[in-house]
Amino acid sequence: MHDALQRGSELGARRWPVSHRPLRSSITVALAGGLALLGCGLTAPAAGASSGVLKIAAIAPLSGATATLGKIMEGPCAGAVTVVNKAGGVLGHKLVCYPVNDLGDPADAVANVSRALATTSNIVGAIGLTSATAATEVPILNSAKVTMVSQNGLSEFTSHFYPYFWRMTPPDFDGGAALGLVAVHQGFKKVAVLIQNSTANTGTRPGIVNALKQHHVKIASNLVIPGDASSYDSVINGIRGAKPDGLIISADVQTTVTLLSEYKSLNSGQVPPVIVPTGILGSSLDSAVKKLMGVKYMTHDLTLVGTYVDTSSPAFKQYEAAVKHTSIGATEASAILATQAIGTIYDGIIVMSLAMDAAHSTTPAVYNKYMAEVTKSRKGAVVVHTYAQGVKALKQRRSIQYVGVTGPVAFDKFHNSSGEYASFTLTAKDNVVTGKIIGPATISAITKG
Amino acid sequence: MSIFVSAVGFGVASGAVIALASLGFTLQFGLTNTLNIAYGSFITLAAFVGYGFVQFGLSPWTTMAIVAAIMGVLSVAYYGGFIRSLIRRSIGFGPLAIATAAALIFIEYTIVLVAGTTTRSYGLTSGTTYHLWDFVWTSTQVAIIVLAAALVTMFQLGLRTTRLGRALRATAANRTLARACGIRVERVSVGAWMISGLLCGVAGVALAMTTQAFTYNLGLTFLIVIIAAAVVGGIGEPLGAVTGGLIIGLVTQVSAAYFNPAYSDVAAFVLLIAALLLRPTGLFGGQARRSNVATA
Repeated sequence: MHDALQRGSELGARRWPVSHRPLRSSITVALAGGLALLGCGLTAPAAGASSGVLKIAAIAPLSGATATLGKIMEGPCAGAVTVVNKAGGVLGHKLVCYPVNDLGDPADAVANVSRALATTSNIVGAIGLTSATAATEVPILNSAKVTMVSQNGLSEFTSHFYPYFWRMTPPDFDGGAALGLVAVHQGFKKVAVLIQNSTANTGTRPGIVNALKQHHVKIASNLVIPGDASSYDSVINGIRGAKPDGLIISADVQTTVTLLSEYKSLNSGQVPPVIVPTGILGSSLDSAVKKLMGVKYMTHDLTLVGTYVDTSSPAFKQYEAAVKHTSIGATEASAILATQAIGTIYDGIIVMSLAMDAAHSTTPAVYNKYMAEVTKSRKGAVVVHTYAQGVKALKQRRSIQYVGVTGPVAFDKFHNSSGEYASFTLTAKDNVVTGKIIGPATISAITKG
Repeated sequence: MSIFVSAVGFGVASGAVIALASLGFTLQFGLTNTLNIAYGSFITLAAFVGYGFVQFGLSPWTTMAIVAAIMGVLSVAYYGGFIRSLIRRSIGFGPLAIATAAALIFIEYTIVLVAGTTTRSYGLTSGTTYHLWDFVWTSTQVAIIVLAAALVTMFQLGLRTTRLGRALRATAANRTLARACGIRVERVSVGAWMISGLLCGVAGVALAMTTQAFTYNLGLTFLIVIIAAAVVGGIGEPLGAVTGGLIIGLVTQVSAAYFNPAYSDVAAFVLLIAALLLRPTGLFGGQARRSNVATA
């Protein structure tokens, strides 16, 4: 592209003679071409592929403030396509991850996702679409008829009108309910709730409040705070006056660490136990907390809450091996495996691939309805944990139920499937230890209450 | 009363860091008429360079001194190699500001390339907590307040009593007249960018110490506060920047103590708008101009 521009510039500099007739012809051709393209743009073409490599658009922030998230999401995508390709690909086609950088910004996402769809062939599915950008990305992909497995946790997608939207990540409300329930389980009587003023974090607030209220836990403070401020002294001063016996903080790492260290400074070194979401684990929370609060606080008073997956399941074993065999570093691999919700990316790609096999088509408009078919629990269905097992059973013309990294998948009529939650603690060597597991029914009770 | 006094104390601590940063920012503007948006990335760079020295085992205060010197040199290099070239090409005020915004993005992403996007921490404890009446300050905060007060006082004295200070004031007031009077205005500008770099280095390390954790966008978040402080005080006016910094710090902390803390920044910016409506030149804008006229 750059070379072409440079050559054009050189031609202009030589002042080559230009005939007006060819110029007029060129303008006519260009206008005709432009009108033709405009006409094509009036209706969004349906995605699909008849031949060649199949692309899964990995739509995530690859640069910007939340680039860490995008980096973490690369591993499961790479791992899943490796597994699929090792088993012969999808209907003979090789699968690849096609990164689309949405910069974690809804406005940038519109331009970048639209451009990717307009200029890239064979996009047969999409993963990513996190909470910060899903609101603008989902309608675009749905219009283009691209099946997507979104990692967003927005409550507005609990019910919607997007047939190509699928989600195995529970909504933020459920995450909030789990945070509140862990506080209840830990026996807190008076909790201070601090939520960073961002889309992903404020979504957890109603769930936390509902869970605490239903279990008669007093809420000492319930504050939304700006993220990454240089000081929260006044906020902390107000909270410590209420003497909470526990804290729930839903914020990014910088905000969380600043809050904890200022609490420690202002309260003579005493900080109540804190509960935070697991989502921030991959961003050096552990090392920062260890440095500032001490190993004892990190191992005894820091509880992380997030979606739970059974690390001894056959699907997880293959997932773990696949992620570790990708080109990402060992540190990133351990962060990915620790961030268990990221496993839904892996599962999403496997489910999409199995749906294509079941539908005998790589066209989303055809295979989309098979997403529920290959995950549904029903009599006579063969439970499969890997893509290879699934393909084998489908070739034998048998119904399958894929039980993946994140456990059984049960899509509701809005294509949402919620999972289990658990509390986690860290050891002095930063290993993650699973604590209490919270089932979907318990979360559902909070949601309905 | 107790909450208010405590909040005022916290505001002074926050304001001290803002004042240091804002002083450096306003000096660049006053001397070379440059709205240097990249100043935010220099704050981040200072925090990250400091992180390297702290990891190496140096104390934060030694680190601060070294980082200040490094940032002073980098600031001069940035001015000489980038800003001055653009000014010499008679680039307008607006395009120059946009060019500095581009520099901000370049520097921030260079930091990301080298240091990544993970959260860093100096891992320093805040030291002893002092309770004086209803003020609550940590020893780190006290040290930063004292340091900021000392640097601001030295700067003000330097402006009035040293040859460079007088040259700075004269150049800020009227660059052409200053040159006609025999002042080497280019050297003075280089001196101003050196001093602003020093202040930026101190502020970057101080900010990293107070927030305890930071990422590559530390300075970008803080830049808005810095500009607000400079504008409230009267952009280009050193004393105004310091006063503006303290006011922004106080308003942010007091509003967080009494109202929804989610809107504490909003309170600071409502103040900014009010200040501009009532006094478009900022708190010290008119006063400083009069003093500069007298100097010239």
